[in-house]
Amino acid sequence: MPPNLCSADSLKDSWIKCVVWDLDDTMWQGTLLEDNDVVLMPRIKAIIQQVDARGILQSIASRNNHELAWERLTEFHLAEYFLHPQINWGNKSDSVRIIANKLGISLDTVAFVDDQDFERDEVRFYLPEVLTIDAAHTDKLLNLPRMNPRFITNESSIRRKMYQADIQRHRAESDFTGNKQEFLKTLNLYVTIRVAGESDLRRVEELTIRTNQFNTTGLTYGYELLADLSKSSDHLLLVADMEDRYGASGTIGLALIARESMVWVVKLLITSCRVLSRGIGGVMIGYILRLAKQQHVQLRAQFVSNDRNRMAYVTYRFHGFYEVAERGNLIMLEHNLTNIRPYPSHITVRSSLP
Amino acid sequence: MDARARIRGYFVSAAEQEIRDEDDIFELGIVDSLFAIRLIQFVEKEFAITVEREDLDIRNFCSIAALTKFALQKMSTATPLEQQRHPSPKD
Repeated sequence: MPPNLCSADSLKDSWIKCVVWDLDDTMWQGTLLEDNDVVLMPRIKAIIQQVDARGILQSIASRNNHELAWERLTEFHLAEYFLHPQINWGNKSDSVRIIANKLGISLDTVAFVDDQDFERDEVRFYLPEVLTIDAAHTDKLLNLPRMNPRFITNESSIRRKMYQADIQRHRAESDFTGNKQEFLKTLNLYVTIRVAGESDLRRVEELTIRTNQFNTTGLTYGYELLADLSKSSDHLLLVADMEDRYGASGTIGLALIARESMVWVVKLLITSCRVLSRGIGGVMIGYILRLAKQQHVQLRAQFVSNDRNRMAYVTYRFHGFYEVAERGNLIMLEHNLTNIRPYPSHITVRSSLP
Repeated sequence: MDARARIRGYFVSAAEQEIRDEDDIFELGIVDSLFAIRLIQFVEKEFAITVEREDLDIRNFCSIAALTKFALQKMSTATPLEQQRHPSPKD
């Protein structure tokens, strides 16, 4: 069965990736500076937790005293849910823009909740792509179609934590006084390569659709096909997870290998742009080379070039693959399984396979 | 600045460390896919050459010395159109 040849654009995500909350009369009743003893809006905590569980990030845009507001949020045990909070006396549109920027998301994936008409108008005026929501309708937030993402993967519930780990990692990197190599060594990076299980399939599907650069064919694979392939004895579907001292980065690589008795063909190799420049592509290739050598099979890899995946081709070549055939836009590469480079010194590779 | 010096300059600033001309950059562990693609783009732009698929042999890129030799060789066989795009002094 051929993989879905869906264009990545038609599956473009218009779902909300971040909800930005106002505080006074939105998150809590009343105005903090007038009455320090504000009470949370009914059910808001459950709503925030549900948004978080769906893998949607959250932040704050509030005109308030930062210390006081953050202290209050901490007392409510809510502070941990909010990334890059903008609590100051500036314009809400500036705050929302800053948040989107820091999270690396586009404005059309942001929702802004505020009780005040003029604040919502201001944000809509400067940032027309942002979805503005009257706080009076907060209890309907979770029902909005755009708040129900298609991809609830096994990572959705830890997405915020992964972002927070990333913030800490970046901070550590900018404080670090050595070079990038030395910094990577301080991370204590572990990559675990294992056979994909059923709970991985949504994330694998997401990777095939979302990843453009380190993607060796650009073909997308739907859930059903992946489920069949993961159970087929003629195929090996591998995933790679990464974690370091700051926390987990989740599943950041996948490889689909078609296995005949004497020849293996890597049909697809993907690494997430989340971890570009950590050396993961090379690690996956190195692992596959070792496995093929151990199994005494010939190893080949398919490549379909497009305008974004040159990086993946270069990585195959720089790890010793060479071209053996070309059919239309499909390039066949091969590796003679000699001169397999050691893994980078900053990564520890673990595997459940022999 | 000659080709070798320009290539050395790029490597040292991209890798943020001193590298000798004959050092194998892959063994040094500084090359990941992003580094590799940027290196190729640098060489293409700096020397007005096109790195084709068949050029992506590791032997052309494994050291400052190897890359210099490759770049010079490509420049000497470059078409007039390529040379026009980015005239640079040969050495």
